[in-house]
Amino acid sequence: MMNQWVERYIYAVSKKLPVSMREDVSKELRANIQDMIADEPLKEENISDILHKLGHPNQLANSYRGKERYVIAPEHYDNYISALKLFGVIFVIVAVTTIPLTVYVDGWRTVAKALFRSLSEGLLNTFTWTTIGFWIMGSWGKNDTKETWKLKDLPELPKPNQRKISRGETIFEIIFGVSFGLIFISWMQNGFPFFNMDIVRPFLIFFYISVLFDFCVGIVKLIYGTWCIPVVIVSTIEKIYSLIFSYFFLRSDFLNHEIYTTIADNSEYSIETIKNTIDLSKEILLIVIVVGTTVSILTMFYKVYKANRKA
Amino acid sequence: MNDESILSNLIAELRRGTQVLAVLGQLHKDQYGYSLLQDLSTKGIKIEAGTLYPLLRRLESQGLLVSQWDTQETRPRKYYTLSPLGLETYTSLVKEWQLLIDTMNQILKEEQ
Repeated sequence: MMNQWVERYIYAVSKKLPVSMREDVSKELRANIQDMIADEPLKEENISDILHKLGHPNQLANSYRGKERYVIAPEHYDNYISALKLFGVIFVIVAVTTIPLTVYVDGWRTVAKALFRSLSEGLLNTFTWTTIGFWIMGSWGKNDTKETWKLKDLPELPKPNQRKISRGETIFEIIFGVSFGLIFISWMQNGFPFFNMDIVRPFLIFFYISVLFDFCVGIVKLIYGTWCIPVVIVSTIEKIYSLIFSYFFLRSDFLNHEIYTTIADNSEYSIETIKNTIDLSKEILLIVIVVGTTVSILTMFYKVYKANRKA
Repeated sequence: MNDESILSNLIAELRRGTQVLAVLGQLHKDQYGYSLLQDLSTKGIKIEAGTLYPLLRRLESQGLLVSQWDTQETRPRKYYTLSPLGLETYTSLVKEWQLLIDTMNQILKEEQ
Protein backbone atom coordinates (compact mmCIF):
# COMPACT_ATOMS: atom_id res chain seq x y z
CA MET A 1 0.00 0.00 0.00
CA MET A 2 2.84 2.38 0.88
CA ASN A 3 4.50 1.56 -2.40
CA GLN A 4 1.26 2.34 -4.14
CA TRP A 5 1.73 6.05 -3.33
CA VAL A 6 5.27 5.96 -4.65
CA GLU A 7 4.11 4.27 -7.85
CA ARG A 8 1.32 6.77 -8.27
CA TYR A 9 3.77 9.61 -7.77
CA ILE A 10 6.18 8.16 -10.32
CA TYR A 11 3.31 7.63 -12.74
CA ALA A 12 2.16 11.25 -12.26
CA VAL A 13 5.65 12.47 -13.13
CA SER A 14 6.39 10.10 -15.99
CA LYS A 15 3.15 10.61 -17.84
CA LYS A 16 4.13 14.24 -18.33
CA LEU A 17 7.44 13.28 -19.89
CA PRO A 18 8.36 12.50 -23.48
CA VAL A 19 8.06 8.77 -24.10
CA SER A 20 11.78 8.42 -24.74
CA MET A 21 12.62 9.47 -21.15
CA ARG A 22 9.78 7.79 -19.34
CA GLU A 23 11.20 4.40 -18.55
CA ASP A 24 14.63 5.50 -17.46
CA VAL A 25 13.39 8.42 -15.37
CA SER A 26 10.83 6.18 -13.66
CA LYS A 27 13.47 3.61 -12.85
CA GLU A 28 15.89 6.17 -11.47
CA LEU A 29 13.21 8.03 -9.55
CA ARG A 30 11.99 4.78 -8.02
CA ALA A 31 15.53 3.86 -6.93
CA ASN A 32 16.10 7.32 -5.45
CA ILE A 33 12.77 7.38 -3.62
CA GLN A 34 13.41 3.93 -2.21
CA ASP A 35 16.81 5.09 -1.00
CA MET A 36 15.15 8.04 0.68
CA ILE A 37 12.50 5.82 2.24
CA ALA A 38 15.00 3.25 3.46
CA ASP A 39 16.14 5.60 6.23
CA GLU A 40 12.66 6.12 7.62
CA PRO A 41 9.99 3.88 9.09
CA LEU A 42 7.40 2.99 6.51
CA LYS A 43 4.51 5.25 7.43
CA GLU A 44 2.17 7.25 5.30
CA GLU A 45 3.32 10.60 6.72
CA ASN A 46 6.93 9.74 5.95
CA ILE A 47 6.11 8.75 2.39
CA SER A 48 4.15 11.94 2.05
CA ASP A 49 7.07 14.00 3.43
CA ILE A 50 9.55 12.40 1.08
CA LEU A 51 7.36 12.89 -1.96
CA HIS A 52 6.75 16.49 -0.93
CA LYS A 53 10.50 17.01 -0.73
CA LEU A 54 10.61 16.05 -4.39
CA GLY A 55 7.91 18.59 -5.09
CA HIS A 56 4.69 18.57 -7.06
CA PRO A 57 4.82 15.87 -9.76
CA ASN A 58 4.17 18.41 -12.50
CA GLN A 59 6.95 20.62 -11.18
CA LEU A 60 9.37 17.70 -11.13
CA ALA A 61 8.33 16.66 -14.62
CA ASN A 62 8.97 20.23 -15.77
CA SER A 63 12.49 20.10 -14.34
CA TYR A 64 13.15 16.78 -16.04
CA ARG A 65 11.95 18.12 -19.36
CA GLY A 66 14.05 21.24 -19.14
CA LYS A 67 12.99 24.46 -20.76
CA GLU A 68 11.60 23.02 -23.96
CA ARG A 69 8.07 24.00 -24.75
CA TYR A 70 5.82 21.71 -26.67
CA VAL A 71 2.98 22.34 -29.04
CA ILE A 72 1.88 18.81 -28.25
CA ALA A 73 2.21 17.99 -24.58
CA PRO A 74 4.48 14.97 -24.11
CA GLU A 75 1.76 13.00 -22.37
CA HIS A 76 -0.38 13.25 -25.51
CA TYR A 77 2.37 12.73 -28.03
CA ASP A 78 1.79 9.01 -28.70
CA ASN A 79 -1.89 9.58 -29.10
CA TYR A 80 -1.24 12.56 -31.33
CA ILE A 81 0.87 10.51 -33.73
CA SER A 82 -1.58 7.63 -33.85
CA ALA A 83 -4.50 10.03 -34.26
CA LEU A 84 -2.70 11.71 -37.12
CA LYS A 85 -2.04 8.42 -38.88
CA LEU A 86 -5.53 7.23 -38.20
CA PHE A 87 -7.32 10.37 -39.40
CA GLY A 88 -5.15 10.33 -42.50
CA VAL A 89 -6.03 6.73 -43.30
CA ILE A 90 -9.71 7.23 -42.54
CA PHE A 91 -9.80 10.34 -44.65
CA VAL A 92 -8.23 8.64 -47.67
CA ILE A 93 -10.49 5.61 -47.32
CA VAL A 94 -13.62 7.70 -47.03
CA ALA A 95 -12.54 9.81 -49.99
CA VAL A 96 -11.85 6.72 -52.07
CA THR A 97 -15.01 4.84 -51.11
CA THR A 98 -17.17 7.78 -52.05
CA ILE A 99 -15.65 7.92 -55.54
CA PRO A 100 -18.11 5.47 -57.14
CA LEU A 101 -20.95 7.58 -55.85
CA THR A 102 -19.60 10.90 -57.09
CA VAL A 103 -18.67 9.34 -60.41
CA TYR A 104 -22.22 8.16 -60.73
CA VAL A 105 -23.54 11.62 -60.03
CA ASP A 106 -21.01 13.92 -61.69
CA GLY A 107 -19.00 11.97 -64.27
CA TRP A 108 -15.28 11.26 -64.38
CA ARG A 109 -13.52 14.49 -65.15
CA THR A 110 -14.98 16.57 -62.34
CA VAL A 111 -14.36 13.71 -59.97
CA ALA A 112 -10.65 13.43 -60.77
CA LYS A 113 -10.24 17.17 -60.25
CA ALA A 114 -12.33 17.27 -57.12
CA LEU A 115 -10.63 14.22 -55.69
CA PHE A 116 -7.18 15.68 -56.16
CA ARG A 117 -8.25 18.91 -54.54
CA SER A 118 -10.12 17.32 -51.70
CA LEU A 119 -7.29 14.88 -50.96
CA SER A 120 -4.64 17.56 -50.75
CA GLU A 121 -6.84 20.00 -48.87
CA GLY A 122 -8.30 17.29 -46.70
CA LEU A 123 -4.97 15.89 -45.62
CA LEU A 124 -3.74 19.34 -44.77
CA ASN A 125 -6.92 20.02 -42.83
CA THR A 126 -6.61 16.71 -41.03
CA PHE A 127 -3.11 17.64 -39.96
CA THR A 128 -4.03 21.15 -38.91
CA TRP A 129 -7.11 20.26 -36.92
CA THR A 130 -5.57 17.27 -35.23
CA THR A 131 -2.64 19.40 -34.17
CA ILE A 132 -4.85 22.23 -32.96
CA GLY A 133 -7.04 19.76 -31.10
CA PHE A 134 -4.12 18.22 -29.28
CA TRP A 135 -2.56 21.59 -28.64
CA ILE A 136 -5.74 22.73 -26.91
CA MET A 137 -5.90 19.46 -25.00
CA GLY A 138 -2.32 19.99 -23.85
CA SER A 139 -2.67 23.61 -22.77
CA TRP A 140 -5.84 22.89 -20.88
CA GLY A 141 -5.45 22.26 -17.15
CA LYS A 142 -1.74 22.25 -17.63
CA ASN A 143 0.99 23.07 -15.18
CA ASP A 144 -0.91 22.87 -12.03
CA THR A 145 2.02 23.03 -9.64
CA LYS A 146 0.43 23.93 -6.35
CA GLU A 147 2.71 23.76 -3.35
CA THR A 148 0.09 22.11 -1.21
CA TRP A 149 -1.01 18.79 -2.54
CA LYS A 150 -1.98 15.54 -0.92
CA LEU A 151 -1.14 11.94 -1.71
CA LYS A 152 -4.75 11.48 -2.67
CA ASP A 153 -4.35 14.05 -5.46
CA LEU A 154 -1.99 11.71 -7.30
CA PRO A 155 -3.55 10.09 -10.34
CA GLU A 156 -4.65 6.48 -10.08
CA LEU A 157 -2.44 3.96 -11.80
CA PRO A 158 -3.94 2.62 -15.00
CA LYS A 159 -5.60 -0.70 -14.30
CA PRO A 160 -3.77 -3.53 -16.01
CA ASN A 161 -6.83 -5.75 -16.23
CA GLN A 162 -9.20 -3.16 -17.64
CA ARG A 163 -10.92 -4.51 -20.72
CA LYS A 164 -9.03 -3.51 -23.84
CA ILE A 165 -10.93 -2.26 -26.86
CA SER A 166 -9.63 -3.87 -30.01
CA ARG A 167 -7.98 -1.21 -32.17
CA GLY A 168 -8.57 -3.07 -35.41
CA GLU A 169 -12.24 -3.55 -34.67
CA THR A 170 -12.69 0.11 -33.81
CA ILE A 171 -10.92 1.28 -36.96
CA PHE A 172 -13.13 -1.06 -38.97
CA GLU A 173 -16.22 0.34 -37.23
CA ILE A 174 -15.21 3.92 -37.92
CA ILE A 175 -14.37 3.37 -41.57
CA PHE A 176 -17.50 1.43 -42.37
CA GLY A 177 -19.76 3.53 -40.17
CA VAL A 178 -18.62 6.76 -41.75
CA SER A 179 -18.43 5.66 -45.37
CA PHE A 180 -21.76 3.81 -45.37
CA GLY A 181 -23.37 6.61 -43.41
CA LEU A 182 -22.20 9.18 -45.92
CA ILE A 183 -23.14 7.05 -48.91
CA PHE A 184 -26.58 6.47 -47.46
CA ILE A 185 -27.10 10.16 -46.76
CA SER A 186 -26.07 11.32 -50.21
CA TRP A 187 -28.26 8.63 -51.67
CA MET A 188 -31.21 10.07 -49.78
CA GLN A 189 -30.25 13.61 -50.71
CA ASN A 190 -30.32 12.72 -54.35
CA GLY A 191 -33.87 11.50 -53.91
CA PHE A 192 -34.56 8.02 -52.73
CA PRO A 193 -37.65 6.73 -54.56
CA PHE A 194 -39.18 4.92 -51.56
CA PHE A 195 -38.91 7.91 -49.27
CA ASN A 196 -41.18 10.89 -48.94
CA MET A 197 -38.52 13.56 -49.31
CA ASP A 198 -40.60 16.34 -47.74
CA ILE A 199 -40.59 14.37 -44.51
CA VAL A 200 -37.10 12.95 -44.78
CA ARG A 201 -35.27 16.18 -45.67
CA PRO A 202 -35.48 17.79 -42.20
CA PHE A 203 -34.06 14.56 -40.80
CA LEU A 204 -30.92 14.73 -42.95
CA ILE A 205 -29.05 16.96 -40.53
CA PHE A 206 -29.71 14.41 -37.78
CA PHE A 207 -28.32 11.67 -40.00
CA TYR A 208 -25.17 13.75 -40.39
CA ILE A 209 -24.95 14.28 -36.63
CA SER A 210 -25.36 10.57 -36.18
CA VAL A 211 -22.40 9.81 -38.48
CA LEU A 212 -20.32 12.48 -36.75
CA PHE A 213 -21.25 11.04 -33.37
CA ASP A 214 -20.26 7.57 -34.48
CA PHE A 215 -16.94 8.90 -35.66
CA CYS A 216 -16.28 10.73 -32.38
CA VAL A 217 -17.09 7.68 -30.29
CA GLY A 218 -14.65 5.65 -32.39
CA ILE A 219 -11.91 8.22 -31.87
CA VAL A 220 -12.52 8.37 -28.12
CA LYS A 221 -12.32 4.56 -28.02
CA LEU A 222 -9.01 4.64 -29.89
CA ILE A 223 -7.55 7.31 -27.67
CA TYR A 224 -8.41 5.57 -24.40
CA GLY A 225 -8.11 2.00 -25.66
CA THR A 226 -10.02 0.58 -22.69
CA TRP A 227 -13.58 0.54 -21.47
CA CYS A 228 -13.01 3.38 -19.04
CA ILE A 229 -15.54 5.93 -17.79
CA PRO A 230 -15.13 8.55 -20.56
CA VAL A 231 -15.57 5.91 -23.26
CA VAL A 232 -18.65 4.51 -21.58
CA ILE A 233 -20.19 7.96 -21.15
CA VAL A 234 -19.60 8.96 -24.76
CA SER A 235 -20.89 5.64 -26.09
CA THR A 236 -23.97 5.82 -23.88
CA ILE A 237 -24.80 9.33 -25.06
CA GLU A 238 -24.34 8.21 -28.65
CA LYS A 239 -26.57 5.19 -28.20
CA ILE A 240 -29.29 7.23 -26.50
CA TYR A 241 -29.07 9.78 -29.30
CA SER A 242 -29.51 7.06 -31.93
CA LEU A 243 -32.41 5.67 -29.95
CA ILE A 244 -34.26 8.98 -29.79
CA PHE A 245 -33.47 9.68 -33.40
CA SER A 246 -34.70 6.23 -34.54
CA TYR A 247 -37.88 6.75 -32.56
CA PHE A 248 -38.74 10.02 -34.25
CA PHE A 249 -37.69 8.83 -37.66
CA LEU A 250 -39.59 5.55 -37.55
CA ARG A 251 -42.66 7.25 -36.11
CA SER A 252 -42.67 9.79 -38.94
CA ASP A 253 -44.43 9.10 -42.19
CA PHE A 254 -41.16 8.81 -44.06
CA LEU A 255 -42.26 6.31 -46.70
CA ASN A 256 -43.51 7.44 -50.05
CA HIS A 257 -47.22 6.57 -50.26
CA GLU A 258 -46.87 5.57 -53.88
CA ILE A 259 -45.05 2.50 -52.72
CA TYR A 260 -48.27 1.25 -51.07
CA THR A 261 -50.18 1.55 -54.33
CA THR A 262 -47.34 -0.04 -56.28
CA ILE A 263 -47.31 -3.05 -53.99
CA ALA A 264 -51.09 -3.23 -53.95
CA ASP A 265 -51.18 -3.17 -57.73
CA ASN A 266 -48.78 -6.07 -57.91
CA SER A 267 -50.32 -8.22 -55.21
CA GLU A 268 -53.65 -9.39 -53.99
CA TYR A 269 -53.53 -7.35 -50.77
CA SER A 270 -55.42 -4.15 -50.22
CA ILE A 271 -53.65 -0.85 -49.61
CA GLU A 272 -55.03 -0.90 -46.08
CA THR A 273 -53.45 -4.28 -45.26
CA ILE A 274 -50.11 -3.26 -46.74
CA LYS A 275 -50.09 -0.03 -44.78
CA ASN A 276 -50.91 -1.87 -41.56
CA THR A 277 -48.22 -4.46 -42.19
CA ILE A 278 -45.61 -1.78 -42.82
CA ASP A 279 -46.67 0.16 -39.73
CA LEU A 280 -46.46 -3.00 -37.68
CA SER A 281 -42.95 -3.76 -39.00
CA LYS A 282 -41.91 -0.22 -38.11
CA GLU A 283 -43.18 -0.77 -34.55
CA ILE A 284 -41.39 -4.11 -34.30
CA LEU A 285 -38.20 -2.58 -35.64
CA LEU A 286 -38.48 0.16 -33.04
CA ILE A 287 -38.88 -2.39 -30.24
CA VAL A 288 -35.87 -4.32 -31.53
CA ILE A 289 -33.83 -1.11 -31.52
CA VAL A 290 -34.93 -0.19 -27.99
CA VAL A 291 -34.14 -3.65 -26.64
CA GLY A 292 -30.87 -3.84 -28.55
CA THR A 293 -29.68 -0.45 -27.31
CA THR A 294 -30.65 -1.18 -23.73
CA VAL A 295 -28.84 -4.50 -23.79
CA SER A 296 -25.71 -3.00 -25.28
CA ILE A 297 -25.64 -0.16 -22.74
CA LEU A 298 -26.10 -2.61 -19.90
CA THR A 299 -23.35 -4.91 -21.21
CA MET A 300 -21.02 -1.94 -21.43
CA PHE A 301 -21.68 -0.92 -17.83
CA TYR A 302 -21.28 -4.51 -16.72
CA LYS A 303 -17.86 -4.71 -18.41
CA VAL A 304 -16.69 -1.56 -16.62
CA TYR A 305 -18.11 -2.75 -13.31
CA LYS A 306 -16.33 -6.08 -13.63
CA ALA A 307 -13.00 -4.46 -14.56
CA ASN A 308 -13.19 -2.09 -11.59
CA ARG A 309 -14.20 -4.73 -9.11
CA LYS A 310 -11.29 -7.00 -9.96
CA ALA A 311 -8.75 -4.22 -9.57
CA MET B 1 5.27 39.67 -3.71
CA ASN B 2 6.42 40.79 -0.27
CA ASP B 3 9.94 41.73 0.83
CA GLU B 4 10.61 38.37 2.35
CA SER B 5 9.78 36.42 -0.78
CA ILE B 6 11.87 38.80 -2.87
CA LEU B 7 14.82 38.09 -0.61
CA SER B 8 14.28 34.33 -0.63
CA ASN B 9 13.97 34.38 -4.42
CA LEU B 10 17.25 36.23 -4.74
CA ILE B 11 18.97 33.81 -2.37
CA ALA B 12 17.59 30.87 -4.33
CA GLU B 13 18.92 32.41 -7.54
CA LEU B 14 22.38 32.91 -6.04
CA ARG B 15 22.42 29.31 -4.86
CA ARG B 16 21.21 27.97 -8.16
CA GLY B 17 24.26 29.40 -9.85
CA THR B 18 26.55 27.50 -7.53
CA GLN B 19 24.70 24.20 -7.62
CA VAL B 20 26.22 22.90 -10.84
CA LEU B 21 29.70 23.60 -9.59
CA ALA B 22 29.01 21.90 -6.27
CA VAL B 23 27.53 18.85 -7.99
CA LEU B 24 30.36 18.51 -10.49
CA GLY B 25 32.85 18.83 -7.63
CA GLN B 26 31.34 15.83 -5.88
CA LEU B 27 31.44 13.60 -8.92
CA HIS B 28 35.10 12.76 -9.20
CA LYS B 29 33.95 9.43 -7.87
CA ASP B 30 30.82 7.44 -8.77
CA GLN B 31 27.72 8.57 -6.93
CA TYR B 32 24.04 7.77 -7.18
CA GLY B 33 21.32 10.34 -6.70
CA TYR B 34 20.60 9.87 -3.02
CA SER B 35 24.23 9.43 -1.91
CA LEU B 36 25.08 12.66 -3.67
CA LEU B 37 22.15 14.39 -2.02
CA GLN B 38 23.38 13.34 1.42
CA ASP B 39 26.97 14.25 0.61
CA LEU B 40 25.95 17.71 -0.43
CA SER B 41 23.73 18.26 2.56
CA THR B 42 26.42 17.19 5.07
CA LYS B 43 28.70 19.70 3.37
CA GLY B 44 26.09 22.38 3.85
CA ILE B 45 24.95 22.71 0.24
CA LYS B 46 21.21 23.16 0.18
CA ILE B 47 19.73 21.50 -2.85
CA GLU B 48 16.31 19.94 -3.15
CA ALA B 49 16.00 16.32 -4.24
CA GLY B 50 13.55 17.50 -6.88
CA THR B 51 16.23 19.83 -8.25
CA LEU B 52 19.18 17.50 -8.01
CA TYR B 53 17.79 14.46 -9.79
CA PRO B 54 16.73 16.29 -12.94
CA LEU B 55 19.97 18.31 -12.83
CA LEU B 56 22.03 15.11 -12.98
CA ARG B 57 20.18 14.00 -16.09
CA ARG B 58 20.60 17.38 -17.70
CA LEU B 59 24.35 17.41 -17.06
CA GLU B 60 24.52 13.92 -18.49
CA SER B 61 22.68 14.94 -21.64
CA GLN B 62 25.11 17.84 -21.99
CA GLY B 63 27.93 15.31 -21.94
CA LEU B 64 29.45 16.48 -18.65
CA LEU B 65 28.52 13.31 -16.79
CA VAL B 66 28.40 9.67 -17.70
CA SER B 67 26.08 7.25 -16.00
CA GLN B 68 25.84 3.55 -15.46
CA TRP B 69 23.18 1.34 -13.97
CA ASP B 70 24.37 -0.97 -11.25
CA THR B 71 22.02 -3.89 -10.99
CA GLN B 72 24.23 -6.04 -8.76
CA GLU B 73 22.85 -4.69 -5.51
CA THR B 74 19.39 -5.38 -4.12
CA ARG B 75 18.22 -2.01 -5.39
CA PRO B 76 19.32 -1.03 -8.87
CA ARG B 77 21.07 2.35 -8.82
CA LYS B 78 22.19 4.75 -11.43
CA TYR B 79 25.73 5.95 -10.82
CA TYR B 80 27.02 9.21 -12.23
CA THR B 81 30.59 10.36 -12.65
CA LEU B 82 32.44 13.14 -14.48
CA SER B 83 33.21 12.56 -18.14
CA PRO B 84 36.51 13.85 -19.57
CA LEU B 85 34.57 16.83 -20.91
CA GLY B 86 32.97 17.25 -17.49
CA LEU B 87 36.36 17.28 -15.79
CA GLU B 88 37.66 19.86 -18.24
CA THR B 89 34.55 21.98 -17.77
CA TYR B 90 34.79 21.64 -14.01
CA THR B 91 38.41 22.87 -13.99
CA SER B 92 37.49 25.90 -16.08
CA LEU B 93 34.47 26.61 -13.91
CA VAL B 94 36.58 26.49 -10.76
CA LYS B 95 38.97 29.07 -12.25
CA GLU B 96 36.02 31.22 -13.19
CA TRP B 97 34.63 30.83 -9.70
CA GLN B 98 37.90 31.98 -8.09
CA LEU B 99 37.92 34.99 -10.35
CA LEU B 100 34.34 35.77 -9.46
CA ILE B 101 34.99 35.50 -5.73
CA ASP B 102 38.00 37.80 -5.97
CA THR B 103 36.08 40.37 -7.97
CA MET B 104 33.05 40.17 -5.73
CA ASN B 105 35.12 40.46 -2.56
CA GLN B 106 36.85 43.47 -4.00
CA ILE B 107 33.54 45.13 -4.84
CA LEU B 108 31.99 44.32 -1.47
CA LYS B 109 35.06 45.60 0.39
CA GLU B 110 34.94 48.90 -1.49
CA GLU B 111 31.29 49.32 -0.64
CA GLN B 112 32.04 49.05 3.06
